Amino acid sequence: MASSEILFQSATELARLMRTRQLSPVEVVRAYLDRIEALNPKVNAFITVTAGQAMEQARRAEKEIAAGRNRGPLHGLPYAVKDIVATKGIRTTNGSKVTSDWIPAHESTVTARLNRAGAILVGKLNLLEFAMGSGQRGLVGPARNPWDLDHSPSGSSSGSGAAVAAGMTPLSIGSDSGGSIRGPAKSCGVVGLKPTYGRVSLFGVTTLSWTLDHVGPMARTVADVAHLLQVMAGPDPQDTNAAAAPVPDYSRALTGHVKGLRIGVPDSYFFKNVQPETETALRRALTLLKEMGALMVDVTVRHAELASPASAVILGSECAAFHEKRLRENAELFDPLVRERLEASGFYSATDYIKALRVRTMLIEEMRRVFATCDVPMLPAGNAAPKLTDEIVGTDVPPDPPPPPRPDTLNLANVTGIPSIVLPCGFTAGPPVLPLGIQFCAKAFDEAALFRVAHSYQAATNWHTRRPPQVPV
Amino acid sequence: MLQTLTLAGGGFHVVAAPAVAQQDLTLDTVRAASAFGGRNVSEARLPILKPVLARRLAQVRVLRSLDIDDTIGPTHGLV
Repeated sequence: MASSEILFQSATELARLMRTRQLSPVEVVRAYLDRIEALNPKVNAFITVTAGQAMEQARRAEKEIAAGRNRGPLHGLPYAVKDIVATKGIRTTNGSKVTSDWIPAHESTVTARLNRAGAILVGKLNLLEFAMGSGQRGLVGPARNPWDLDHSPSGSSSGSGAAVAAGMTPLSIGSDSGGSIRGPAKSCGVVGLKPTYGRVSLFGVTTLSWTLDHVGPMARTVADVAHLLQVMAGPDPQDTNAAAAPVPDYSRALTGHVKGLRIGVPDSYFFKNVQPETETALRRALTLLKEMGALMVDVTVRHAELASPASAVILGSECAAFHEKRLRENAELFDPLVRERLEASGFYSATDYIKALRVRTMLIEEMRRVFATCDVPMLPAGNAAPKLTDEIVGTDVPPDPPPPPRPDTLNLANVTGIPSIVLPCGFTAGPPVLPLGIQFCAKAFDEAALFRVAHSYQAATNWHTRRPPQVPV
Repeated sequence: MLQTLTLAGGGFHVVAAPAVAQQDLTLDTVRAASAFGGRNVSEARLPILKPVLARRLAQVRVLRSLDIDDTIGPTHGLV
């Protein structure tokens, strides 16, 4: 198979071709490494490429598969991980000058599990410094959106979204404390899952916010994301917050059927600041799912507007505490915007923080009430990707006039810990033509419901099969 | 606006109450808050942080204006 045909196959299909010996791990890894070498100067998705180690592991995988020792659906598949996830012996920068030379002596649980399953690390992905939100340049400059290189892939898992969209890796790992997996998934036209809090161990993932952080999978198809989560999820003695709840067989959710599934359609708050083009795409997706047999249920999330203020205080307080020593000793090494955010966050009081945690309790209860009436509330995932020049402003002080407000649809899942998935649901008319995304949420530990609705929708549409024109194969 | 949040019927309801007067930020109030919080922000950083804090104050006041029922405690993370 020509390498150009390999790059945009789903990981599931690549695994099948390798299992049946129609393709070798060496061919697959070589194709992606060549693609990374050719495209990274444009897309800037990778901070570190682990080419030598990857080829060595590909040769080992080839021998194992030839000998009939298949390690499962990820064996021989390349993956790349946000450079906030510790990889033993491989530089892990956190996208920051503060830790730009850090070579961890330990392996994160997530990468350890992926490696054990036979997946092959091809590199560490660009991100916003310490995953601390948009507006900054990052350690190596911004990753660029493969759909239009002047646009942002969104962040903070910017490289994770851009690399998958550009065909530089079929699988990636991001982290999400306020939408940092789902925003890039939306902007880059790929699938991104924020699992339930505690579903995936955070051991070895540099903290942004202990109680809002999540690590999760990204890929072009829902099935690929499900296969990744299957390996990543589960209890971990190295992370006391990792849940003991058993991990179901997610492949059983990939039925293609949504008959009887209750999809929650929210009230006007979540559509505030959603552009008409985006709303049209979302309504079209809901119409299709209804035609496929899903039931539409109107839902109201009372006081959804409190999720973002609560998130801001929780995240700010926790990251200020986490970085206290680094800020005291190396303030000048931080990106100016990150420094500004950390210093300002030190002004929150303990009372503010506890108030925010009490609002979290209320919102969790509210979502329990919502899930009594529907299975998967649909929420917008935001508007199409912004221009890089509009996004990298370097300060949180709003310009005059202020930029147009954005939809507030991502923080709710972080504050309440519920799982949430984003997948492509259309494109802007352009120019430039940019992806649009749709978000579904589910009750805690019911990722299977997300896979059911998202896989069914993807099976009935072809948005995920389109390729970015600015990075042709 | 002061609001009262209570768990009611599996969700929560809000009761509006009279607004509380709020003081605006000045460099002196930021300096004093920094000293009390042990942050000791330098004189050079104070004018940089003041507009950032002013923006955040608007957001955090949303939370400060809530009066939450005594029965509602904080949730750390796991749901």
